[in-house]
Amino acid sequence: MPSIDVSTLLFLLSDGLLWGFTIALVALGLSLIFGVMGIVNMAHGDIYMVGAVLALYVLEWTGNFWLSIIIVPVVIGLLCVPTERFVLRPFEGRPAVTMIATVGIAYIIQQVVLATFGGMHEKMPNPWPVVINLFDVGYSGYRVLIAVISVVIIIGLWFFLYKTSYGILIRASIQDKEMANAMGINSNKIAMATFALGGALAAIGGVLAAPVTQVFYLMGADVILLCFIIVIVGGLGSLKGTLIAALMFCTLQGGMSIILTPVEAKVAIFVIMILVLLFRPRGMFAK
Amino acid sequence: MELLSLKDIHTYYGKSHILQGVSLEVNKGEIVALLGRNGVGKTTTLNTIIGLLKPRRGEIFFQERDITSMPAFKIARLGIGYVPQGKHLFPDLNTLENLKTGMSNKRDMTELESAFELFPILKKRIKQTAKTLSGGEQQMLAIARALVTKPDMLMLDEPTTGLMPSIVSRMEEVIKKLNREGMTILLVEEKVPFSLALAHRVYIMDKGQIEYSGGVEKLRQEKEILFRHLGART
Repeated sequence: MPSIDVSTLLFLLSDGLLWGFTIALVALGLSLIFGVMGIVNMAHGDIYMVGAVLALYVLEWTGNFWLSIIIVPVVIGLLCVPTERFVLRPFEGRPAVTMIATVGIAYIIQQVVLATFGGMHEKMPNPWPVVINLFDVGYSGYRVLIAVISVVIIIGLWFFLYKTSYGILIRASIQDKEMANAMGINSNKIAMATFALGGALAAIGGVLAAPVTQVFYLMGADVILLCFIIVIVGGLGSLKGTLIAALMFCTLQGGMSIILTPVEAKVAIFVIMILVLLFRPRGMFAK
Repeated sequence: MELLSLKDIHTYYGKSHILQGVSLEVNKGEIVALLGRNGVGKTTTLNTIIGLLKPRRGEIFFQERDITSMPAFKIARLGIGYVPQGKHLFPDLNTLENLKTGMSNKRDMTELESAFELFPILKKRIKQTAKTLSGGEQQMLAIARALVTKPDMLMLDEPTTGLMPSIVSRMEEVIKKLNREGMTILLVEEKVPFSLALAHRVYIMDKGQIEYSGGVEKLRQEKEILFRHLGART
């Protein structure tokens, strides 16, 4: 067992917390889609994966990684629009069927990526190779940067949802979809916009993660699992809960890595989820 | 002039046949009360009109347009303001945000101002989330939220349930005032005296069907009908 010293622990906790902001982006996308549409989007992790893959392509074609932060979520968001309209909407009001449809979408995405990009693990060069000092350990400046970018996007998302007219309509649809309809709000349009927004958030997560993980056509699996746990523990339909749970779990995961192997840490995350649900069956911030 | 008409409407919840051939009309400028005991299909009738439930048979016309198979949001935009039973406010949205959900032009403050004129207390609660308002304030907000959609007809489902007597009489005044200013109102109620004090015409429902229709004065004389369908003595 390795010796535990405070600065190592603080380092690992900070590393987890910083990563938590990027995971929060992905989880917020999942949470929004569930909140507005009542859909468990099984393809969310694969949208994240496509974000990472497309970031590689953008880097290859333009030589500039940073462009992908803008281009990739826009492309993914636009692709989500017809997906919602022609794949999900026909099954509206049938959650189980919709969930299976999203599993289908997930497989299609995986196989298309496998057929085009291939099945190998690709490592992307670090776009910002700066090293900073974090609790006396040299730390990747890029990891701090993506946390900052994620925070900026989360603030932007908060502003959109809480300070704009369209955001009011989205929140109204989350809280009472039938009544929103009876108020003259076109819930189909709201669902379409939300699915695009949620997909774009997953894609940005993938883009930001690409340089710090291995880009691989199955890389979405771990992230979707973590995001499900986060959304459930945070409380279904609560965006605040999702954000807090994302930061909490990633920080814990970082802290636990000092004594646990990655596999043990995954088990521990499940144990924590079960413990939370025993005391708060509807999640921490559920209504 | 006929504003709303239902012709032989049959609505189901799953397999249960709730509305069994409901026909009714609401004319422009009227207050029409739809009375009946609990569970006879009054709320189902309103939900069918606004399009939240789709009838299996029959036709609904509003402003001479067939709205039978229109989605709810389009029906609402044609000019029906719905104040449902239990209010159905957006609980975590504040007063202003709840009102904004109904405003097609979010910058048009005239509708907002007239809503605050009608219910001045709401202006003081503007930043308060709907779930923290008192029952009376919630009911006022529900009505105000329907009014800012600039409807031609207001559908009120038991607007006085659970309210203090003083607020009930305030609601009575508000409904009368709106009607004097030209608003057509379809009122669902279980409180017979409250409804008879307001309505021009009355429909009485029983077991998914309209059992009686007529003017208020005529109904007042037919006490036996009131007693049979509503258990009411007036």
